[in-house]
Amino acid sequence: MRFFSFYVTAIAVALGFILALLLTAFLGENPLDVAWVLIRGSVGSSTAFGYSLFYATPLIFTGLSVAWALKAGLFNIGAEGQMTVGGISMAIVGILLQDLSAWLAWPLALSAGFMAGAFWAWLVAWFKVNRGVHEVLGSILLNFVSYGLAGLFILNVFRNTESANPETLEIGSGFHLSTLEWLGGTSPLNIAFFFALAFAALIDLLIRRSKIGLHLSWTGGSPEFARRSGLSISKQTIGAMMISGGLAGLAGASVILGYMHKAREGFAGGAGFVGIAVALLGRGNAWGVVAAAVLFGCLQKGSLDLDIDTENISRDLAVVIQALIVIAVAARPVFERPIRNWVDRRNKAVN
Amino acid sequence: MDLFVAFIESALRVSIPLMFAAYGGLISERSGLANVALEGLLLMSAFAGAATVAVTQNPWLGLAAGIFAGAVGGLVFGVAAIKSRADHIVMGIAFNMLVAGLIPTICRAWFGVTGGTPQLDRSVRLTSDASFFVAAILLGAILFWALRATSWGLRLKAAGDEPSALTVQGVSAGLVRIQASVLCGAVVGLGGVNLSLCQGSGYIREMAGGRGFIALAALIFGAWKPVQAGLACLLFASADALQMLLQGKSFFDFAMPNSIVQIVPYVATLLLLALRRSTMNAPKAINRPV
Repeated sequence: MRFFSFYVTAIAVALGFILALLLTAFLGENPLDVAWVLIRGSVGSSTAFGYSLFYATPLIFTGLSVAWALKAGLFNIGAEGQMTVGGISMAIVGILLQDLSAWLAWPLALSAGFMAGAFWAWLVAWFKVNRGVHEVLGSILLNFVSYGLAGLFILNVFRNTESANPETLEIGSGFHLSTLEWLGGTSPLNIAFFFALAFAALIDLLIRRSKIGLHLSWTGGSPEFARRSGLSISKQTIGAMMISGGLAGLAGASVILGYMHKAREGFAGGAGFVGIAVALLGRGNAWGVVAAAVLFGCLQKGSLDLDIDTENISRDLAVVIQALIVIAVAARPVFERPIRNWVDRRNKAVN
Repeated sequence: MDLFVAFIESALRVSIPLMFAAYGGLISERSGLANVALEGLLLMSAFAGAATVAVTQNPWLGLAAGIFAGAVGGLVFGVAAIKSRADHIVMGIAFNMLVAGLIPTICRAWFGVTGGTPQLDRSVRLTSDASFFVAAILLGAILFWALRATSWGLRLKAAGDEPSALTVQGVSAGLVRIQASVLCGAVVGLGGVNLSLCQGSGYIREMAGGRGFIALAALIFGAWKPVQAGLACLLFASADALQMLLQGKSFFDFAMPNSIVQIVPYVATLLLLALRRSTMNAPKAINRPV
């Protein structure tokens, strides 16, 4: 049965790719060339693959974030904002505590990111539980607020006046995450990728083996049952959103601590929104989220070359492919039934 | 005094796309189709309108193209959400993503850049804010009447509250919702055209800037009722007008950073939404498959 589910998801992914490549044909490109650019750009060399994994790292965090909230039946589309405030908090800690040694610095910065993201999501949960504001609206509005706050810190409070770019001062060297040359060549791939995998393992364990995960899935799957079992839906909602927000808050670590060593405007770069697609494709399974994040990371890296190597299309094709995949995954029932019938018929024929 | 007049004027102007988006959303949501795709519909029609004018130099064709693109977008979203029996919010988010990717892709293929359409000359734009505003008010009045007094309105509300009542009559609730989604798209299309051909001079990337979501908030704040939703749009628009007014100003020698001023409309929307708990007025079968 799980195997079957995997096949249906794979078909949905293939469908998304095929539709998007057909679109490129309409726009005057050779779809095979486009596919080749995407493949070469994402896995063509160890540096290219390193970049793909570098792009996948925040997606793992935001994907886990959205997936965790989805387990509780909550649609957290505010991962982008939570990632933004989390990343800014990491940068602030790094700027203020310049001389901290690495052993203290990383854990401190990561906790700051987690707590800031959790707080941002707590706001969404508070407005939902106490004032009936749907979490979709609350989180999207807070996204815009987070951009403003980030702008305040980047352009005003901690601005590096010597740089021509809108960016903050540098963080202390103890906060720098080491890069992984053996895996990613000259790409900025850094140890945050393994943090992400560790969190995926932790979330997998929590979801499948812990009371927290069980209560979470009751809340999402059958709120009435959860309530009659003595759970407070309000508390579950707040808790689920805070963990979800905390995970998204960590997503900036790879970019800010591992690569930029400062915060620039728009450093989140849409990873929070792609995280929604990652979570839906990963179907609420932590390792599924990792796989989906790596796929979308490859897509993001590969699509950068489209700007240069094609005449008529751009990196935005990656977004089209992602959206089509999400639509195909969401519309699974439409093609799930015919496939199931076909499998059943074949099984009968064999027997 | 001049400042006050300028404030009112810009509030009225900003409210136009919000009203069209909110009325479109109202049609769709009253039929039971939860609609977070308003943002994508606004962007899509804004782009279609501006792109058509850039090619044909005819603003009326641009208007028609914007409305048509909105209707097509509504059809795509409606069919995808209803026929797949998927969660409407998931489908709406996916639709927004699709639009966010498609517009720059098509833009690059047609105009060579991903950032937007070429600047449009004033002579080929729709310059009358006032007619758009009057159209929006009229639309609100028509909706108010149609929801109470026409069989279309009754069917729409039935599809949103009790779809099985339609099924018993031999009317397909799914079809009612898809029709509503097409109409919603066309109405939102007017708002999109207003953005790119009237308030702006062409399409620029992400030009809706969350207005689709603010319109959704206004619709909820207005308890899914046309008159109240229209007033809510005016309220939320004045927060946006306030933001424009405050930009670049300083108070007691303290220059307000623009990044803080810019968040005013979003904070105001969130707080106002929290102030009035109107979710109990939601259509009963919203986001339920039929």
